[in-house]
Amino acid sequence: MTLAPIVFGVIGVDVATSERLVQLLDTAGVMAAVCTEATAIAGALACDALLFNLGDRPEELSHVARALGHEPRLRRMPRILRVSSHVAVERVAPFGWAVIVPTESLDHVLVDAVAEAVVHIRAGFEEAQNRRKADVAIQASERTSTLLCAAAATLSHDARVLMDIVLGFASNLRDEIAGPTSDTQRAHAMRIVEASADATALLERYTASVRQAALEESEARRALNVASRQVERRRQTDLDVLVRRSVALLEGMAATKQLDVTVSVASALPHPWCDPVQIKQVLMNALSNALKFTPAGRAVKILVASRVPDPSGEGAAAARQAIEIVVSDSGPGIPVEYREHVFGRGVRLERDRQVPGSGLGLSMVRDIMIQHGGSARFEDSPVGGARLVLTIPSDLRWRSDDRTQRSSHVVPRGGP
Amino acid sequence: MAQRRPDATFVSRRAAGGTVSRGGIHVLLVDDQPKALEALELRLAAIGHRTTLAHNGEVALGVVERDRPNLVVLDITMPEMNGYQACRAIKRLDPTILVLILTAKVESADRFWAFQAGADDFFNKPMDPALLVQKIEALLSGP
Repeated sequence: MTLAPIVFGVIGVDVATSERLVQLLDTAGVMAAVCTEATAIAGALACDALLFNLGDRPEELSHVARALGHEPRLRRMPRILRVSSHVAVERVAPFGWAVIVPTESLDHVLVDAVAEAVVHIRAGFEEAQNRRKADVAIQASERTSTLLCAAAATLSHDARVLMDIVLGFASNLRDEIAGPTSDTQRAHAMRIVEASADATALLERYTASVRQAALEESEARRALNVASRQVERRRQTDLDVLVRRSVALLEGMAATKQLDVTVSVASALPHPWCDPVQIKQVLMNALSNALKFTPAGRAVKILVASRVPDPSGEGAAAARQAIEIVVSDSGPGIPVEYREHVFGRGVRLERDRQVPGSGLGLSMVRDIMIQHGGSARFEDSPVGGARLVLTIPSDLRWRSDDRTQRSSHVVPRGGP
Repeated sequence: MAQRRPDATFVSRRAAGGTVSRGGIHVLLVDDQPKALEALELRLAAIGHRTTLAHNGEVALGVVERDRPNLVVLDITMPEMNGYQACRAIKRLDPTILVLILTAKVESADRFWAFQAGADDFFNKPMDPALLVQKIEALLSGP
């Protein structure tokens, strides 16, 4: 693997010092560039990490903080602050610096801090590259699985149609439908009838095994992928914000159909530990389903509330603190016997063939909820329509030690 | 659409497993592949039933509106209007017309949606027409 050069942006009011620092880093083998006041943000955005040289002028912090506040990428970049040690720590602490180096310290302290940041960034690059490779492999596997399943289904269908014609005429010959046949001819016709039954059975076994193999392979890859990345992205998440953002994203779809979308979130909800990106995906899938299947002019309701733990309920999960997200629509609903079936991968109800979709949305919803220790199920709705109940535990804590916090600052070029 | 009358003067002694022909029965056969129902059509004709072929759901509906057949053998996978839609429309026009689904679709969901659409029976291809004729006769003779 060739290593892309990592560039430090050096920002400070004192250009002469900035230039000296650039030279220092250059001697230590790290590429650096001065970002002057005029080009600070644009220049900084082109870098992989930042070195703020504030010396004893921490009043510049407010300016820098504003710049950081507007640029998420800058906020996520590894940042080193070089500031005079007589500046009170409280004044700089709120800005979440990865490393603070006193201006009075020897140059090698700064060089060490920069070198450590470079190691972090490289690790981030490598991780991102591995993830991209894994993503490509998983996508290829998914495509292969989908193609195989589709091919097996088409083969099964078309071969059955042809077999039906063979069987039909052989049966007619056997039964002398079109005219008298000899005993030998009838015996031959019977053999064709038997052979077509054998061929159909063979076809059935073949298509079933192809489908099974494709699903198993795809499941294995997905499990690998999920395990490697699920925990690190989790953080305490405000579901209220997440739900409202998801609804806002689908506003256009709701407006087109003149749907009445109401969101009701209980006050003082705990913030569960979860991956906000994944949970947002879950909400988007659940909501877009509800909007799709609700006829124009009708209502969709989203309710978020704490679930009362039920110690007498079945299984350990029932006794846990959890939050329930309930999405109710006014569509045709899902028959009781299909409420489990619809969570299968690639499963679509025949009734819904006219509605666009891949049949993967709900399986993704359930997978993500289960990865979070929660659940997804359809329940009876008192007002008809489908009622999807998502449960997410609110008493779980994943590690939140300093190491995780630090590494979360290291975001490779282009983001994860 | 092709309407055929049995031209064979020969009626097999083995036809449909010895089913006795009852005159005046009209069976509409619907499939986008005309060959698919030919063997069944010959067999029905041989026992004296009148048959009509339609190659899609819309043509089938026209026949139903005009001729009110006693029974419809319906495929599912057809362009424009599929078997479920055709079945629902036929039952809306005349709920007394019997509908038998004959399809190569083998998922349990297919069977479920066929009955949801109002079908009276459901069979998978390939199906021996001798057996199918027995099922048709059973349906026609009522519960």
